Amino acid sequence: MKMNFVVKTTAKVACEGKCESLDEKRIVPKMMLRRRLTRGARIMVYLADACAFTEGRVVYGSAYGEMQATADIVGAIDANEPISPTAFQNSVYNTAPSYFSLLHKNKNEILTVSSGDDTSRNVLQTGALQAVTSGEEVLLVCSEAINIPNIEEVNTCTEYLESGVALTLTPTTQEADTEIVVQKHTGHAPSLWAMLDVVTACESKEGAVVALEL
Amino acid sequence: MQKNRVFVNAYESLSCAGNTAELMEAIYAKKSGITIDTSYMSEHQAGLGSFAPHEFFSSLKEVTQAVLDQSDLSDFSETLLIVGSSVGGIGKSEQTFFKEKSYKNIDPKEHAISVISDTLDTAFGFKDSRSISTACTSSANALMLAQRLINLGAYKNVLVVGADALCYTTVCGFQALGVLSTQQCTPFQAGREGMNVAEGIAALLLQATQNEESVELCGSAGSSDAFHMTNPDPEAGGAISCMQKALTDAGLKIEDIDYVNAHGTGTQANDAVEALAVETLFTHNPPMSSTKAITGHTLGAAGALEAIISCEVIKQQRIAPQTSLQEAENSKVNLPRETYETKIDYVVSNSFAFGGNNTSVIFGALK
Repeated sequence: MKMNFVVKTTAKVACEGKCESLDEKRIVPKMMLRRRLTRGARIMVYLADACAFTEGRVVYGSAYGEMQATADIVGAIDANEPISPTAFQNSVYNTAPSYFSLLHKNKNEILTVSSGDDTSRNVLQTGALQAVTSGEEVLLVCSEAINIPNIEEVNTCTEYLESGVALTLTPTTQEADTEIVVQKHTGHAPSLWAMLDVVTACESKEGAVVALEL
Repeated sequence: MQKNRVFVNAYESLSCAGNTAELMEAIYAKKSGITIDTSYMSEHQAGLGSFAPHEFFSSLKEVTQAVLDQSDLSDFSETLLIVGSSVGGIGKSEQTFFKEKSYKNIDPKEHAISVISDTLDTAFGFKDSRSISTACTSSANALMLAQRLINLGAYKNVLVVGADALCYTTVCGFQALGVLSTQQCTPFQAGREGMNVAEGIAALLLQATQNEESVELCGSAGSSDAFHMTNPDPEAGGAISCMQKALTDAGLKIEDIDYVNAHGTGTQANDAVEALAVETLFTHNPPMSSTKAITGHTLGAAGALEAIISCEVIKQQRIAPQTSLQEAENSKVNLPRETYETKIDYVVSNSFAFGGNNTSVIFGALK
Protein backbone atom coordinates (compact mmCIF):
# COMPACT_ATOMS: atom_id res chain seq x y z
CA MET A 1 0.00 0.00 0.00
CA LYS A 2 1.44 3.35 -1.06
CA MET A 3 0.43 6.74 0.32
CA ASN A 4 1.61 10.28 -0.34
CA PHE A 5 3.64 12.50 1.98
CA VAL A 6 5.08 15.99 1.96
CA VAL A 7 8.80 15.98 2.68
CA LYS A 8 9.09 19.33 4.41
CA THR A 9 12.69 19.21 5.60
CA THR A 10 15.77 17.09 5.00
CA ALA A 11 19.26 16.93 6.48
CA LYS A 12 22.33 14.76 6.28
CA VAL A 13 25.84 14.53 7.67
CA ALA A 14 28.79 12.26 6.91
CA CYS A 15 32.33 12.29 8.32
CA GLU A 16 35.21 9.91 7.70
CA GLY A 17 36.06 10.06 11.40
CA LYS A 18 34.44 11.93 14.27
CA CYS A 19 32.00 14.65 13.20
CA GLU A 20 33.41 17.78 14.84
CA SER A 21 30.72 20.31 13.91
CA LEU A 22 27.51 19.01 15.41
CA ASP A 23 26.81 22.28 17.27
CA GLU A 24 26.14 20.44 20.54
CA LYS A 25 26.67 23.43 22.85
CA ARG A 26 23.86 25.37 21.22
CA ILE A 27 21.52 22.43 20.68
CA VAL A 28 22.08 20.85 24.12
CA PRO A 29 22.81 23.75 26.47
CA LYS A 30 22.65 21.65 29.66
CA MET A 31 26.17 20.36 30.20
CA MET A 32 25.20 17.28 32.23
CA LEU A 33 22.89 16.06 29.50
CA ARG A 34 25.34 16.98 26.75
CA ARG A 35 28.14 14.99 28.39
CA ARG A 36 26.02 11.85 28.49
CA LEU A 37 25.08 11.90 24.80
CA THR A 38 26.43 9.05 22.71
CA ARG A 39 27.85 9.77 19.28
CA GLY A 40 24.62 8.46 17.75
CA ALA A 41 22.60 10.77 19.99
CA ARG A 42 24.72 13.77 18.98
CA ILE A 43 24.10 13.02 15.31
CA MET A 44 20.40 12.51 16.06
CA VAL A 45 19.88 15.84 17.82
CA TYR A 46 21.95 17.65 15.18
CA LEU A 47 19.83 16.26 12.35
CA ALA A 48 16.57 16.90 14.23
CA ASP A 49 17.67 20.50 14.79
CA ALA A 50 18.49 20.86 11.10
CA CYS A 51 14.95 19.64 10.37
CA ALA A 52 13.55 22.12 12.95
CA PHE A 53 11.71 19.27 14.65
CA THR A 54 11.21 19.18 18.42
CA GLU A 55 7.78 17.64 19.04
CA GLY A 56 6.01 14.63 17.55
CA ARG A 57 6.46 10.99 16.70
CA VAL A 58 10.00 9.87 15.87
CA VAL A 59 11.21 6.84 13.93
CA TYR A 60 14.93 6.20 14.26
CA GLY A 61 17.02 3.56 12.54
CA SER A 62 20.47 2.09 12.93
CA ALA A 63 21.81 -1.22 11.69
CA TYR A 64 24.48 -1.51 14.37
CA GLY A 65 23.24 0.68 17.22
CA GLU A 66 25.47 2.04 19.94
CA MET A 67 28.80 0.47 18.99
CA GLN A 68 30.98 2.35 21.49
CA ALA A 69 28.79 1.43 24.47
CA THR A 70 28.59 -2.19 23.31
CA ALA A 71 32.37 -2.37 22.84
CA ASP A 72 32.95 -0.80 26.27
CA ILE A 73 30.69 -3.36 27.96
CA VAL A 74 32.13 -6.42 26.22
CA GLY A 75 35.67 -5.13 26.80
CA ALA A 76 34.99 -4.62 30.52
CA ILE A 77 33.51 -8.10 30.88
CA ASP A 78 36.49 -9.62 29.08
CA ALA A 79 38.91 -7.71 31.31
CA ASN A 80 36.93 -8.64 34.43
CA GLU A 81 36.44 -4.94 35.14
CA PRO A 82 33.28 -3.18 36.36
CA ILE A 83 30.79 -2.23 33.67
CA SER A 84 29.84 1.43 33.54
CA PRO A 85 26.11 1.75 34.29
CA THR A 86 26.05 4.65 31.83
CA ALA A 87 27.53 2.45 29.11
CA PHE A 88 24.83 -0.13 29.72
CA GLN A 89 21.94 2.35 29.70
CA ASN A 90 23.42 3.87 26.54
CA SER A 91 23.78 0.52 24.78
CA VAL A 92 20.16 0.05 23.69
CA TYR A 93 19.20 0.82 20.10
CA ASN A 94 16.70 3.51 21.14
CA THR A 95 19.34 5.52 23.02
CA ALA A 96 19.69 8.29 20.43
CA PRO A 97 15.98 9.13 20.03
CA SER A 98 15.48 8.78 23.78
CA TYR A 99 18.04 11.53 24.41
CA PHE A 100 16.17 13.58 21.80
CA SER A 101 12.95 13.06 23.79
CA LEU A 102 14.73 14.07 27.02
CA LEU A 103 16.16 17.18 25.39
CA HIS A 104 12.84 18.43 24.06
CA LYS A 105 10.46 16.86 26.64
CA ASN A 106 8.86 15.11 23.70
CA LYS A 107 6.37 12.55 25.09
CA ASN A 108 5.28 11.14 21.74
CA GLU A 109 5.86 7.61 20.44
CA ILE A 110 9.44 6.72 19.57
CA LEU A 111 10.25 3.65 17.49
CA THR A 112 13.63 2.28 16.54
CA VAL A 113 14.20 0.08 13.52
CA SER A 114 17.25 -2.13 13.03
CA SER A 115 16.98 -4.17 9.86
CA GLY A 116 20.55 -4.46 8.63
CA ASP A 117 21.04 -3.04 5.13
CA ASP A 118 17.25 -2.55 4.89
CA THR A 119 17.15 -0.27 7.93
CA SER A 120 16.36 3.03 6.23
CA ARG A 121 13.89 1.38 3.82
CA ASN A 122 12.06 0.07 6.89
CA VAL A 123 12.36 3.44 8.65
CA LEU A 124 10.61 5.03 5.67
CA GLN A 125 7.85 2.40 5.82
CA THR A 126 7.46 2.70 9.58
CA GLY A 127 7.61 6.48 9.46
CA ALA A 128 4.96 6.54 6.74
CA LEU A 129 2.72 4.33 8.90
CA GLN A 130 3.27 6.53 11.95
CA ALA A 131 2.45 9.65 9.93
CA VAL A 132 -0.72 8.15 8.47
CA THR A 133 -1.99 6.88 11.83
CA SER A 134 -1.28 10.17 13.64
CA GLY A 135 -2.12 12.52 10.77
CA GLU A 136 0.86 14.61 11.89
CA GLU A 137 4.42 15.38 10.90
CA VAL A 138 6.87 12.60 11.85
CA LEU A 139 10.67 12.82 12.09
CA LEU A 140 12.70 10.03 10.50
CA VAL A 141 16.40 9.69 11.31
CA CYS A 142 18.88 7.01 10.33
CA SER A 143 22.46 7.07 11.55
CA GLU A 144 25.51 4.92 12.04
CA ALA A 145 28.27 5.78 14.50
CA ILE A 146 30.97 3.13 14.23
CA ASN A 147 34.03 5.26 14.92
CA ILE A 148 35.47 2.98 17.59
CA PRO A 149 39.00 1.61 18.02
CA ASN A 150 39.78 -1.36 15.73
CA ILE A 151 36.56 -1.00 13.73
CA GLU A 152 38.65 -1.54 10.59
CA GLU A 153 38.77 -5.22 11.58
CA VAL A 154 35.11 -5.58 10.59
CA ASN A 155 34.07 -2.47 8.68
CA THR A 156 33.66 -3.21 5.00
CA CYS A 157 30.49 -1.21 4.45
CA THR A 158 31.28 2.49 4.78
CA GLU A 159 33.95 5.17 4.37
CA TYR A 160 32.02 7.39 6.79
CA LEU A 161 32.43 6.22 10.37
CA GLU A 162 29.84 8.77 11.52
CA SER A 163 26.91 9.55 9.29
CA GLY A 164 23.22 10.20 9.34
CA VAL A 165 20.24 11.28 7.29
CA ALA A 166 16.91 12.77 8.34
CA LEU A 167 13.64 14.02 6.92
CA THR A 168 10.14 14.85 8.04
CA LEU A 169 7.00 13.33 6.56
CA THR A 170 3.47 14.73 6.68
CA PRO A 171 0.59 12.78 5.12
CA THR A 172 -1.15 14.54 2.26
CA THR A 173 -3.89 14.03 -0.30
CA GLN A 174 -1.81 15.88 -2.90
CA GLU A 175 -0.52 13.94 -5.90
CA ALA A 176 3.10 12.82 -5.76
CA ASP A 177 5.29 15.20 -7.77
CA THR A 178 8.75 13.84 -7.01
CA GLU A 179 10.21 10.59 -8.22
CA ILE A 180 12.55 8.68 -5.95
CA VAL A 181 15.42 7.12 -7.88
CA VAL A 182 17.05 4.11 -6.25
CA GLN A 183 20.81 4.59 -6.23
CA LYS A 184 23.97 3.10 -4.80
CA HIS A 185 25.37 5.70 -2.42
CA THR A 186 28.91 4.42 -2.59
CA GLY A 187 30.88 5.17 0.56
CA HIS A 188 27.80 5.40 2.75
CA ALA A 189 26.53 2.52 4.87
CA PRO A 190 23.85 0.63 2.91
CA SER A 191 21.57 1.00 5.93
CA LEU A 192 21.21 4.70 4.98
CA TRP A 193 20.73 4.32 1.23
CA ALA A 194 16.93 4.31 0.95
CA MET A 195 16.60 7.51 2.97
CA LEU A 196 19.45 9.08 1.03
CA ASP A 197 17.43 8.33 -2.12
CA VAL A 198 14.50 10.34 -0.73
CA VAL A 199 16.70 13.19 0.50
CA THR A 200 18.50 13.36 -2.85
CA ALA A 201 15.15 13.62 -4.63
CA CYS A 202 13.67 16.20 -2.25
CA GLU A 203 16.46 18.37 -0.84
CA SER A 204 16.30 21.04 -3.54
CA LYS A 205 12.52 21.02 -3.91
CA GLU A 206 10.49 22.75 -1.22
CA GLY A 207 7.37 20.82 -0.25
CA ALA A 208 8.14 17.81 -2.43
CA VAL A 209 5.41 15.17 -2.41
CA VAL A 210 6.51 11.55 -2.59
CA ALA A 211 4.68 8.23 -2.64
CA LEU A 212 5.91 5.79 0.00
CA GLU A 213 5.10 2.18 0.77
CA LEU A 214 3.70 1.44 4.24
CA MET B 1 -11.59 5.65 7.86
CA GLN B 2 -13.03 2.18 8.60
CA LYS B 3 -10.39 0.15 10.42
CA ASN B 4 -9.99 -3.56 9.76
CA ARG B 5 -10.21 -5.60 12.94
CA VAL B 6 -7.11 -7.54 13.99
CA PHE B 7 -7.19 -11.10 15.30
CA VAL B 8 -4.55 -13.20 17.01
CA ASN B 9 -5.11 -16.56 15.35
CA ALA B 10 -2.08 -18.67 16.26
CA TYR B 11 0.82 -18.43 18.66
CA GLU B 12 3.60 -20.37 20.35
CA SER B 13 6.39 -19.54 22.75
CA LEU B 14 9.43 -20.90 24.52
CA SER B 15 10.69 -19.59 27.84
CA CYS B 16 12.31 -20.98 30.95
CA ALA B 17 8.83 -22.21 31.88
CA GLY B 18 8.58 -24.27 28.67
CA ASN B 19 6.24 -23.96 25.71
CA THR B 20 2.96 -22.06 25.90
CA ALA B 21 0.94 -24.92 27.39
CA GLU B 22 3.63 -25.59 30.00
CA LEU B 23 3.98 -21.89 30.69
CA MET B 24 0.28 -21.46 31.43
CA GLU B 25 0.32 -24.50 33.71
CA ALA B 26 3.26 -22.97 35.53
CA ILE B 27 1.59 -19.57 35.84
CA TYR B 28 -1.63 -21.01 37.28
CA ALA B 29 0.33 -23.35 39.59
CA LYS B 30 2.67 -20.48 40.61
CA LYS B 31 5.70 -22.54 39.64
CA SER B 32 8.61 -20.35 38.54
CA GLY B 33 11.02 -21.34 35.78
CA ILE B 34 13.81 -19.20 37.26
CA THR B 35 17.02 -20.90 38.38
CA ILE B 36 19.83 -19.53 40.50
CA ASP B 37 22.93 -19.17 38.37
CA THR B 38 26.59 -18.17 38.66
CA SER B 39 27.72 -19.04 35.14
CA TYR B 40 27.66 -15.43 33.89
CA MET B 41 29.13 -13.86 37.03
CA SER B 42 31.27 -16.20 39.08
CA GLU B 43 31.32 -13.82 42.07
CA HIS B 44 27.58 -13.10 42.06
CA GLN B 45 24.59 -15.37 41.96
CA ALA B 46 21.55 -14.25 40.02
CA GLY B 47 18.12 -15.62 39.29
CA LEU B 48 18.04 -16.21 35.52
CA GLY B 49 15.57 -17.72 33.08
CA SER B 50 17.16 -20.08 30.58
CA PHE B 51 15.65 -22.62 28.23
CA ALA B 52 18.90 -24.56 27.79
CA PRO B 53 19.58 -27.16 26.45
CA HIS B 54 17.30 -25.86 23.67
CA GLU B 55 19.54 -23.98 21.19
CA PHE B 56 18.30 -20.44 20.53
CA PHE B 57 18.25 -20.23 16.72
CA SER B 58 16.93 -23.78 16.27
CA SER B 59 14.21 -22.99 18.79
CA LEU B 60 13.41 -19.77 16.95
CA LYS B 61 12.61 -21.75 13.81
CA GLU B 62 10.71 -24.45 15.73
CA VAL B 63 8.47 -21.92 17.47
CA THR B 64 7.77 -20.20 14.15
CA GLN B 65 7.03 -23.52 12.46
CA ALA B 66 4.59 -24.35 15.27
CA VAL B 67 2.67 -21.14 14.55
CA LEU B 68 2.57 -21.92 10.83
CA ASP B 69 1.29 -25.43 11.62
CA GLN B 70 -1.52 -24.01 13.78
CA SER B 71 -2.53 -21.44 11.16
CA ASP B 72 -4.68 -21.58 8.04
CA LEU B 73 -1.65 -20.62 5.93
CA SER B 74 0.34 -23.08 3.82
CA ASP B 75 3.41 -20.82 3.99
CA PHE B 76 4.43 -17.29 4.93
CA SER B 77 4.87 -15.98 1.37
CA GLU B 78 2.03 -13.45 1.83
CA THR B 79 2.94 -12.62 5.44
CA LEU B 80 4.94 -9.68 6.79
CA LEU B 81 7.41 -10.57 9.55
CA ILE B 82 7.99 -7.99 12.30
CA VAL B 83 10.63 -8.95 14.85
CA GLY B 84 11.15 -7.32 18.22
CA SER B 85 14.54 -7.90 19.80
CA SER B 86 16.92 -5.95 22.00
CA VAL B 87 19.91 -8.29 21.82
CA GLY B 88 19.95 -9.78 18.32
CA GLY B 89 23.16 -11.70 17.76
CA ILE B 90 25.37 -10.09 20.36
CA GLY B 91 25.81 -13.37 22.26
CA LYS B 92 27.81 -14.86 19.38
CA SER B 93 29.90 -11.68 19.03
CA GLU B 94 30.71 -11.80 22.74
CA GLN B 95 31.94 -15.37 22.49
CA THR B 96 34.14 -14.56 19.50
CA PHE B 97 35.62 -11.50 21.20
CA PHE B 98 36.24 -13.28 24.52
CA LYS B 99 38.09 -16.04 22.67
CA GLU B 100 40.05 -14.02 20.11
CA LYS B 101 40.32 -10.53 21.73
CA SER B 102 39.56 -9.13 18.31
CA TYR B 103 36.59 -8.19 16.13
CA LYS B 104 38.09 -9.83 13.01
CA ASN B 105 35.91 -12.91 12.98
CA ILE B 106 32.70 -11.20 14.08
CA ASP B 107 30.24 -11.19 11.20
CA PRO B 108 28.34 -7.87 11.36
CA LYS B 109 25.23 -9.53 9.93
CA GLU B 110 25.27 -12.14 12.70
CA HIS B 111 25.88 -9.45 15.35
CA ALA B 112 22.98 -7.23 14.32
CA ILE B 113 19.38 -7.25 15.61
CA SER B 114 18.35 -8.33 12.10
CA VAL B 115 19.99 -11.76 12.48
CA ILE B 116 16.62 -12.89 13.92
CA SER B 117 14.59 -11.79 10.90
CA ASP B 118 17.32 -12.94 8.48
CA THR B 119 17.26 -16.41 10.06
CA LEU B 120 13.48 -16.66 9.83
CA ASP B 121 13.30 -15.20 6.34
CA THR B 122 15.84 -17.71 5.08
CA ALA B 123 13.90 -20.56 6.67
CA PHE B 124 10.36 -19.51 5.76
CA GLY B 125 10.44 -16.93 2.94
CA PHE B 126 8.31 -14.04 4.19
CA LYS B 127 6.81 -11.43 1.87
CA ASP B 128 8.84 -8.79 3.68
CA SER B 129 10.35 -8.27 7.11
CA ARG B 130 11.43 -5.56 9.50
CA SER B 131 12.95 -5.44 12.97
CA ILE B 132 12.13 -3.19 15.90
CA SER B 133 14.60 -2.62 18.74
CA THR B 134 13.35 -0.41 21.54
CA ALA B 135 14.87 -2.45 24.39
CA CYS B 136 12.16 -4.07 26.55
CA THR B 137 9.23 -2.72 24.50
CA SER B 138 10.59 -4.12 21.22
CA SER B 139 8.01 -6.83 20.55
CA ALA B 140 5.14 -4.83 22.11
CA ASN B 141 5.95 -2.13 19.57
CA ALA B 142 6.10 -4.80 16.86
CA LEU B 143 2.54 -5.79 17.84
CA MET B 144 1.44 -2.15 17.73
CA LEU B 145 2.84 -1.70 14.22
CA ALA B 146 1.30 -4.98 13.06
CA GLN B 147 -2.08 -3.88 14.36
CA ARG B 148 -1.85 -0.55 12.54
CA LEU B 149 -0.82 -2.17 9.24
CA ILE B 150 -3.78 -4.59 9.36
CA ASN B 151 -6.12 -1.80 10.52
CA LEU B 152 -5.22 0.13 7.36
CA GLY B 153 -5.43 -2.89 5.07
CA ALA B 154 -1.76 -2.78 4.12
CA TYR B 155 -1.38 -6.46 5.13
CA LYS B 156 -3.75 -9.32 5.90
CA ASN B 157 -1.20 -11.47 7.74
CA VAL B 158 1.57 -10.28 10.02
CA LEU B 159 3.77 -12.59 12.10
CA VAL B 160 5.17 -10.86 15.17
CA VAL B 161 8.17 -12.54 16.76
CA GLY B 162 9.77 -11.42 20.00
CA ALA B 163 13.12 -13.07 20.60
CA ASP B 164 16.03 -12.45 22.94
CA ALA B 165 18.72 -14.83 24.17
CA LEU B 166 20.64 -14.63 27.41
CA CYS B 167 24.07 -13.07 27.04
CA TYR B 168 26.82 -11.57 29.16
CA THR B 169 26.05 -8.00 28.10
CA THR B 170 22.53 -8.02 29.52
CA VAL B 171 23.17 -10.13 32.62
CA CYS B 172 26.29 -8.19 33.63
CA GLY B 173 24.78 -4.89 32.47
CA PHE B 174 21.73 -5.18 34.71
CA GLN B 175 24.07 -6.25 37.53
CA ALA B 176 26.00 -3.00 36.95
CA LEU B 177 22.76 -1.08 37.34
CA GLY B 178 22.20 -2.84 40.66
CA VAL B 179 18.78 -4.20 39.71
CA LEU B 180 19.37 -7.97 39.51
CA SER B 181 17.79 -10.26 42.06
CA THR B 182 19.88 -13.06 43.53
CA GLN B 183 16.67 -15.09 43.86
CA GLN B 184 13.43 -15.58 41.96
CA CYS B 185 12.03 -12.08 41.49
CA THR B 186 9.07 -10.87 43.56
CA PRO B 187 7.15 -8.27 41.55
CA PHE B 188 5.20 -5.70 43.59
CA GLN B 189 6.48 -7.16 46.88
CA ALA B 190 7.48 -4.71 49.61
CA GLY B 191 11.28 -4.69 49.84
CA ARG B 192 11.75 -6.61 46.58
CA GLU B 193 15.32 -7.22 45.46
CA GLY B 194 15.18 -6.82 41.70
CA MET B 195 14.64 -8.55 38.37
CA ASN B 196 15.58 -11.84 36.68
CA VAL B 197 17.08 -11.59 33.18
CA ALA B 198 15.73 -14.37 30.96
CA GLU B 199 15.58 -15.58 27.40
CA GLY B 200 12.42 -16.07 25.43
CA ILE B 201 10.90 -16.57 22.02
CA ALA B 202 7.28 -15.75 21.30
CA ALA B 203 5.50 -15.68 17.94
CA LEU B 204 1.95 -14.54 17.18
CA LEU B 205 0.14 -14.60 13.84
CA LEU B 206 -2.11 -11.55 13.46
CA GLN B 207 -4.71 -11.64 10.70
CA ALA B 208 -7.58 -9.60 9.34
CA THR B 209 -9.81 -12.68 9.41
CA GLN B 210 -11.15 -14.38 12.51
CA ASN B 211 -11.84 -17.96 13.51
CA GLU B 212 -13.50 -19.57 16.53
CA GLU B 213 -10.24 -19.57 18.47
CA SER B 214 -9.31 -15.95 17.77
CA VAL B 215 -8.55 -13.32 20.36
CA GLU B 216 -8.88 -9.75 19.14
CA LEU B 217 -6.04 -7.25 19.33
CA CYS B 218 -8.30 -4.30 20.07
CA GLY B 219 -5.91 -1.43 20.55
CA SER B 220 -2.41 -0.26 21.35
CA ALA B 221 -0.42 2.87 21.93
CA GLY B 222 2.95 4.15 22.97
CA SER B 223 4.38 7.12 24.81
CA SER B 224 7.68 8.50 26.04
CA ASP B 225 8.40 9.56 29.60
CA ALA B 226 10.96 12.17 28.48
CA PHE B 227 12.21 11.94 32.06
CA HIS B 228 15.35 9.78 32.42
CA MET B 229 17.22 7.12 30.45
CA THR B 230 16.52 4.30 32.90
CA ASN B 231 14.30 5.57 35.70
CA PRO B 232 10.59 5.90 35.00
CA ASP B 233 8.70 9.13 35.58
CA PRO B 234 7.85 8.86 39.31
CA GLU B 235 4.45 10.43 38.67
CA ALA B 236 3.74 7.64 36.15
CA GLY B 237 2.69 10.10 33.46
CA GLY B 238 4.11 8.06 30.59
CA ALA B 239 2.61 4.77 31.79
CA ILE B 240 -0.83 6.31 32.36
CA SER B 241 -0.69 8.08 29.02
CA CYS B 242 0.04 4.97 26.97
CA MET B 243 -2.70 2.93 28.71
CA GLN B 244 -5.18 5.76 28.16
CA LYS B 245 -4.26 6.06 24.48
CA ALA B 246 -4.53 2.28 24.02
CA LEU B 247 -8.03 2.39 25.54
CA THR B 248 -8.99 5.19 23.17
CA ASP B 249 -7.55 3.23 20.23
CA ALA B 250 -9.60 0.21 21.28
CA GLY B 251 -12.75 2.28 21.78
CA LEU B 252 -13.02 1.05 25.37
CA LYS B 253 -13.75 2.64 28.72
CA ILE B 254 -11.45 2.31 31.70
CA GLU B 255 -13.88 0.02 33.53
CA ASP B 256 -13.94 -2.42 30.57
CA ILE B 257 -10.51 -3.76 31.54
CA ASP B 258 -10.82 -7.03 33.49
CA TYR B 259 -7.14 -7.85 34.04
CA VAL B 260 -3.81 -6.02 33.77
CA ASN B 261 -0.82 -8.10 32.70
CA ALA B 262 1.81 -5.87 34.24
CA HIS B 263 5.31 -5.19 33.00
CA GLY B 264 6.24 -5.86 36.65
CA THR B 265 9.96 -6.50 36.40
CA GLY B 266 10.52 -6.74 40.13
CA THR B 267 12.74 -3.64 40.27
CA GLN B 268 11.99 -0.98 42.86
CA ALA B 269 11.42 1.80 40.35
CA ASN B 270 9.38 -0.02 37.71
CA ASP B 271 6.91 -1.72 40.02
CA ALA B 272 6.28 1.32 42.21
CA VAL B 273 5.51 3.49 39.19
CA GLU B 274 3.44 0.87 37.37
CA ALA B 275 1.35 0.20 40.49
CA LEU B 276 0.81 3.94 40.85
CA ALA B 277 -0.26 4.16 37.20
CA VAL B 278 -2.74 1.30 37.51
CA GLU B 279 -4.05 2.59 40.84
CA THR B 280 -4.54 6.06 39.35
CA LEU B 281 -6.12 5.07 36.05
CA PHE B 282 -8.18 1.98 36.89
CA THR B 283 -10.37 3.16 39.74
CA HIS B 284 -12.47 -0.04 39.48
CA ASN B 285 -9.38 -1.91 40.73
CA PRO B 286 -9.06 -4.80 38.24
CA PRO B 287 -6.74 -7.72 39.12
CA MET B 288 -3.16 -7.19 38.05
CA SER B 289 -0.17 -9.52 38.06
CA SER B 290 3.29 -9.80 36.61
CA THR B 291 4.09 -13.16 35.05
CA LYS B 292 7.81 -12.31 35.14
CA ALA B 293 7.88 -14.13 38.47
CA ILE B 294 7.46 -17.26 36.30
CA THR B 295 9.33 -16.37 33.10
CA GLY B 296 11.82 -13.74 34.23
CA HIS B 297 12.23 -10.64 32.10
CA THR B 298 12.70 -11.77 28.52
CA LEU B 299 13.61 -8.20 27.48
CA GLY B 300 12.72 -7.60 23.82
CA ALA B 301 10.62 -10.77 23.75
CA ALA B 302 8.55 -9.81 26.80
CA GLY B 303 5.82 -7.90 24.98
CA ALA B 304 5.09 -10.81 22.63
CA LEU B 305 5.39 -13.44 25.37
CA GLU B 306 3.01 -11.53 27.63
CA ALA B 307 0.65 -10.98 24.69
CA ILE B 308 0.38 -14.75 24.43
CA ILE B 309 -0.24 -15.00 28.18
CA SER B 310 -2.93 -12.32 27.87
CA CYS B 311 -4.62 -14.26 25.04
CA GLU B 312 -4.52 -17.44 27.14
CA VAL B 313 -6.00 -15.64 30.16
CA ILE B 314 -8.91 -14.58 27.94
CA LYS B 315 -9.34 -18.04 26.41
CA GLN B 316 -9.19 -19.83 29.75
CA GLN B 317 -11.18 -17.13 31.59
CA ARG B 318 -8.78 -17.53 34.51
CA ILE B 319 -6.86 -14.75 36.21
CA ALA B 320 -3.10 -15.28 36.47
CA PRO B 321 -2.07 -14.94 40.12
CA GLN B 322 0.85 -12.91 41.41
CA THR B 323 3.48 -15.52 42.21
CA SER B 324 5.95 -14.87 45.06
CA LEU B 325 3.92 -12.14 46.69
CA GLN B 326 3.86 -12.03 50.47
CA GLU B 327 3.21 -8.39 51.24
CA ALA B 328 2.38 -5.88 48.54
CA GLU B 329 4.21 -2.56 48.55
CA ASN B 330 1.11 -0.80 47.23
CA SER B 331 -1.97 -2.13 48.98
CA LYS B 332 -4.31 -0.12 46.75
CA VAL B 333 -3.78 -2.34 43.69
CA ASN B 334 -5.53 -5.68 43.34
CA LEU B 335 -2.80 -8.34 43.22
CA PRO B 336 -4.52 -11.76 43.29
CA ARG B 337 -2.68 -14.35 45.36
CA GLU B 338 -4.41 -17.32 43.75
CA THR B 339 -5.75 -18.41 40.35
CA TYR B 340 -9.47 -17.90 39.91
CA GLU B 341 -12.08 -18.09 37.18
CA THR B 342 -14.06 -15.03 36.22
CA LYS B 343 -15.47 -13.31 33.16
CA ILE B 344 -12.58 -11.71 31.28
CA ASP B 345 -13.44 -9.67 28.22
CA TYR B 346 -10.48 -7.30 27.99
CA VAL B 347 -6.86 -7.44 29.12
CA VAL B 348 -4.24 -4.71 28.93
CA SER B 349 -0.60 -5.79 28.71
CA ASN B 350 2.08 -3.23 29.56
CA SER B 351 5.69 -2.99 28.44
CA PHE B 352 8.14 -0.32 29.57
CA ALA B 353 11.75 0.20 28.50
CA PHE B 354 14.97 2.16 28.82
CA GLY B 355 14.65 5.61 27.38
CA GLY B 356 11.21 5.96 28.96
CA ASN B 357 9.66 4.01 26.09
CA ASN B 358 6.15 2.79 27.05
CA THR B 359 3.70 0.57 25.15
CA SER B 360 0.30 -0.84 26.10
CA VAL B 361 -1.59 -3.44 24.08
CA ILE B 362 -5.22 -4.44 24.68
CA PHE B 363 -6.64 -7.86 23.85
CA GLY B 364 -10.31 -8.82 23.87
CA ALA B 365 -12.56 -11.85 23.76
CA LEU B 366 -14.42 -12.26 20.47
CA LYS B 367 -17.63 -10.24 20.29
